[in-house]
Amino acid sequence: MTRSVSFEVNGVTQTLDVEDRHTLADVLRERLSLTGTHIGCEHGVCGACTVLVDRRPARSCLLFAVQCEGVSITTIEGLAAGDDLHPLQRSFSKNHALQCGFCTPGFIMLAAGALDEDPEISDSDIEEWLASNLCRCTGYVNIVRAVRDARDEMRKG
Amino acid sequence: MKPAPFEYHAPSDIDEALHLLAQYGNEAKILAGGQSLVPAMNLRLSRPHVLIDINRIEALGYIRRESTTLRVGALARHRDLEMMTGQDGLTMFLSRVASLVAHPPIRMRGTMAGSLSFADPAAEWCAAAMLLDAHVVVASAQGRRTVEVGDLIAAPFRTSLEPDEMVLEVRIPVPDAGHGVIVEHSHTSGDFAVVVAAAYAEVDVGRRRLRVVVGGASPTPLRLRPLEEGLGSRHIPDVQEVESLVGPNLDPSSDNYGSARYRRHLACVLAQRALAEAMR
Repeated sequence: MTRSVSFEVNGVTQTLDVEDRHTLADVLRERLSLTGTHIGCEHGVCGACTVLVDRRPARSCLLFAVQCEGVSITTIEGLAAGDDLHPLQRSFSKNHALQCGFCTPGFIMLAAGALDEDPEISDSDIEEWLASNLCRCTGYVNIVRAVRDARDEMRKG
Repeated sequence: MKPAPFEYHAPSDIDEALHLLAQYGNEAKILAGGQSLVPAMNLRLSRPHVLIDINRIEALGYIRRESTTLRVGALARHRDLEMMTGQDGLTMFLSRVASLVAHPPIRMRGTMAGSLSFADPAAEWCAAAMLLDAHVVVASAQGRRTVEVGDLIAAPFRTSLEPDEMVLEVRIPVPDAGHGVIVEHSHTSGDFAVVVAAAYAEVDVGRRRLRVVVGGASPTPLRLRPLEEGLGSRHIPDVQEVESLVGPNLDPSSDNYGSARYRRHLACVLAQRALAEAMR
């Protein structure tokens, strides 16, 4: 049994028939082919599924698609403006802030939400935010550097 | 894993939500922040047949300071409480408690009322609410009642709520001038606390009042009355004294995070730290 739900994803309104139990993460990946959002733990611990919901970072494995009527969602696919990468994407690349890349979209969306909420965010608050998500490859140091650099660059522009 | 099938409802006001609860009773769960419920559903530890999403009920999203009471609506998020800027003792303490809950993205959706309804023995809000002698306003289609937090939290992960009831508001009596301290131990920052301790010291003219609570060392958060009543007004006990005064009252369990003996000791260490800091 399905239900119709309508929400905006990366600026485009999507109307879908979904089951009540379909998570936002699964709907983004399987119905909209936006597979940049990754599923790590499916119980809200790893943050790999992080997207922006009405500009705030949220774990999409803990949201049901049917809850999202009328909201505005941004996924990793929606960050770049055409061919121009977002400062966070450039900074992650420049600072070698990813290895396998599995946690990366979640970290970038988390950071995007944090920087959006407070463009003047302090170094220690960046670390507080970044402690939300798990990375098994990098040891976090370069991720922290990348977010600090992106903050600094975005403050200038 | 994926959750078991359920039927989703999104009431637009409190009466509609209560009507749904009356209709579905123990087949239904309230969905607010979902940061504890949905993980449980995804792991199939919880399989409600019906989900009542209260996020559309804007009337529940408030934090209201009245002269003697702080009233926290069911949809007040941890983040809202964390970001309060008041410089009085209660506001600063609540903000600090909120900042210890999980991580920022979880705090943006999770709620204090939800935390109390979930009744994790080591939850920061459960300990803080017990510390501050809070009560909750509980509603059903039959009417409303007020329950002290100590009576609400009945057992680990179990409340005294009836199947057709939901929490509408948490009411916190404003303490006299003073300040509160919360400390916890977790394996990594933002992880679930193994043990949490909190203390609130009020200093009124010539009178001190001390309250201390520990969570995670008993089936439910425990007020440490022997400490509250048994100390001279300025005496700050050391850990051994705390252990002898309250150690036997604790009833910790053993699990992967620690043995009962470890938890008992940890509880006394953290309680001592919290009350020493609060009394300074």
